[in-house]
Amino acid sequence: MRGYRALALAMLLLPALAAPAWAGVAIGAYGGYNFTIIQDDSDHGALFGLKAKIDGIPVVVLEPSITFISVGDKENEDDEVGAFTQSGGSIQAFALNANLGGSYKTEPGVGFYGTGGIGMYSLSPDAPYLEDESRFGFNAGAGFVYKASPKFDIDVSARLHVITLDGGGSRKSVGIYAGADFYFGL
Amino acid sequence: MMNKNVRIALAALVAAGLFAGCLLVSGQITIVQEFDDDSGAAASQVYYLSVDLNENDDYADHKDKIKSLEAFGFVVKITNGGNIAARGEGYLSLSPITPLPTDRDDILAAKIPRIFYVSDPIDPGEFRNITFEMSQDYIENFDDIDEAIKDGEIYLYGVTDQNTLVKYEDFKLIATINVEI
Repeated sequence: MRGYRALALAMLLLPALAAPAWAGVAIGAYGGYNFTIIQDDSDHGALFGLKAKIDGIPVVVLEPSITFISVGDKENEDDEVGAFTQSGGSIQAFALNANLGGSYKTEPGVGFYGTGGIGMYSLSPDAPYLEDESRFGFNAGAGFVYKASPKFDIDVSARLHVITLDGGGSRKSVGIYAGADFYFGL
Repeated sequence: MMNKNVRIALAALVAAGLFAGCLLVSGQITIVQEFDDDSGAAASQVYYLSVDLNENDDYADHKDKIKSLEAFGFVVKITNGGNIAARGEGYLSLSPITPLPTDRDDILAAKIPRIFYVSDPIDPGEFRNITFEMSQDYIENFDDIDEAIKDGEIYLYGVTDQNTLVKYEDFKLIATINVEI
């Protein structure tokens, strides 16, 4: 777990420190909500995170990020056992995305973009009999950026997360993100 | 420029939709199933319970598409029929133990996994209703439970850690399973 955190921090800080002169860099923070899909054992929850945008490669903007997702308890009802609650947990997602379109804007205005990425998801269920585990996953989505000043933008997006599971299958959720980015060097 | 960005974003959305469609092939179901009482409600040092999950329609519909057990719990009423305080224990087997075990030592000799241990002792002559939420703290050997759920035929041996007379009544499992849909 510590290794992933260190990697994520390095992914976020290195762009600002080591980006070549021709690359534009922005660092941002965001919050939002994560909606689980077809899951009986967990419910929706808040999320927040940090990310960087690196505009130095043709066509795409690279976006490393770390996202902290709260997994809500799930209230269930059954005719035989009545109401019962399955405990949630938390997820830390370390992702590297490629953004297509206008996610990094040098001029004021609105930019639309699509995004796709891969990452490691550290799952920490609250149920005492389940162990923490790290799983590979994907995400994809779309969003828009509104740049009102040279240094800042507002970034809103929706992203589908698919976390692969040990026995096959996956856990899926859709995160709604809203945040702001600070641009260096503009 | 805006139009180009919109086109790219729309293309990305379509790609995301296709991506989602390809991977949205699994989901969770939760089954609730009561065990058969093979002891006939008479207190004994080993209380016998069994279940064939294939009798559960939800399970039977998805049995060949089970990916993994994601969460587990149970409800049960445990009565300590002995004269000392004792903690409930449940041991799991995929086939019946023969000859039938008659006390806790027989269970331990069979070397089958313990799947729950009610760590708070039950006073002599008293009973305790274990709720789903309480059961979460007692579950052990989740991998063995996972294997048993996939197998479908489960034999459960209820005892106490003091080898007292015991009854396990109305035992129901609640299993959340990841399945291909």
